[in-house]
Amino acid sequence: MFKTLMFFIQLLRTSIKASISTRGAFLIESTLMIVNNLIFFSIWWIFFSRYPDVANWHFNDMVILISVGSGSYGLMQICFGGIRNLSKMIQDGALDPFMTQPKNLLLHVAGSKSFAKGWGQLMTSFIMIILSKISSPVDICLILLGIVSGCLVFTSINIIAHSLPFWMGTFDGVSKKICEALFLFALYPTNIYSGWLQVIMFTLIPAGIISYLPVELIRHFSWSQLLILITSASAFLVLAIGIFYFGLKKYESGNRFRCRI
Amino acid sequence: MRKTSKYLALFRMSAFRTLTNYKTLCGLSVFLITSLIIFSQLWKTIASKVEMVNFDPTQLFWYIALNEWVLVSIPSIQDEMEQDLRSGRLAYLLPRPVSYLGSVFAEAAGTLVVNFVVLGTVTCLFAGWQAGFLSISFKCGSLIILLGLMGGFLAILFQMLIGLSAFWLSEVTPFYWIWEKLLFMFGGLMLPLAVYPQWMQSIAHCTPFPAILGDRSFLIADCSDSHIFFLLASVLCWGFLSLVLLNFFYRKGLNILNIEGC
Repeated sequence: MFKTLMFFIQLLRTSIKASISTRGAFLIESTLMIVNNLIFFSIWWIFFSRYPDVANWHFNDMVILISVGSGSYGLMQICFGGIRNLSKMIQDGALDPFMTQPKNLLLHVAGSKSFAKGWGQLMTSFIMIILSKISSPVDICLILLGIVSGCLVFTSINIIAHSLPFWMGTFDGVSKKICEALFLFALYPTNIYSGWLQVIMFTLIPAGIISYLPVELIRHFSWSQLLILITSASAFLVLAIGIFYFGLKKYESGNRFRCRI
Repeated sequence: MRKTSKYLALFRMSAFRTLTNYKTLCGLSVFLITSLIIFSQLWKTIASKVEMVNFDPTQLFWYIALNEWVLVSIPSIQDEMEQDLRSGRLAYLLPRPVSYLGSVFAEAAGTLVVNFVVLGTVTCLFAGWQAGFLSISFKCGSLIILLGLMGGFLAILFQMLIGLSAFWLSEVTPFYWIWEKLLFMFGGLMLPLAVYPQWMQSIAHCTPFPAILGDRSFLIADCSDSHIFFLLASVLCWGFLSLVLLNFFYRKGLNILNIEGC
């Protein structure tokens, strides 16, 4: 377990170094990501300045929601960016170089790539924390916890969506669309949905777990909600790992000679 | 004539490939229906706050459905271009007796047309079942389809521009996300344009986004000749501008390739 953890840390260091090696591209990508998030933020700012209350949510709640949502997504892109290439690897039969090494396969694939734009997302999260005027250490800890648990849920759904080519064949376009849509839905206040749609937003499309639950924890802290947040994030991860290894039995090698340095 | 037939062959091959990959079409259909349900719920909440002029619940649902239909049908061509440019595959594609940009467009258009037909059927059946069928004239219905397709082609051209940015950047996704957010914002997908202040609505109408999504879907409420003329003019002008920009940036990018290699 310790050896695996050390391997992942070393792998992550290498991936992050590679992602920031071209300074110009790194700066442009991170800045563009911040601009992208600020466009989204401005839409809600305009909306809340005209209609200050949406299902008992106010502008400040929305700022925290964007902070948790973009922070979680950014952390996933930095630490587990390789998952985004998983569907393409399965389609092309390109998992062989990873499978021949005596390391945890999923962790190896996940840590094999780190995206520079993830830093832009994390920076947005930081800007939003400042804008939300939160100063209590407890609230900041809750936001950080929300970011970590959201990152695990994003990673889990990415693993599930990008494992679909095991059964569906050429499916990487749809997998990417699913993952991007989850990020978009996570940036909406989940309490606007009602009935069975709200159930879906906490199960099939867990946008509510990623961003809504952490904000509710800050609004009205309760131990039960905290337990739900941690349990559901862990449950999604276990489910995703299970689905990946179940699908791996159907994997067909591409029979290509490749080496991974 | 022979020049066009090469691109038509690419278009046909791509359309056939998309059609045979029926599992992806099923996945896109499920994705479309899910997005439609979520966005309709969101709009219901927001429409209760904003006075949505001329929109009854049926029209509102169809407006979102028509927006989502076009949006989901557009293929993610910028990712493939990024791969071509970054992996050096472009060097192998250049000597072919077809233009790289032309071939990319022909292939994307083939995928778009098949997606458009299949997802259009799914959208009509689902929206009809959920909200009832619209009572619009044949002329209006045909224009919604035609302008939707033209909007899709226009979006492909702009996404090709984003793909070309891989000549300068290692990743094109940040540019694509900005494009997508602006499309959601000014295209009237995320929130109705009526929510925004007047100055932002004016800016929106100076961009290609309403012509791709919102304004075209608004044909269900306003099918006047002036609105149709404005939409057609907007799509054609932006199409011309995007072609000029594509040509310019492609030449600039090729210069980098010639000097620095892949």
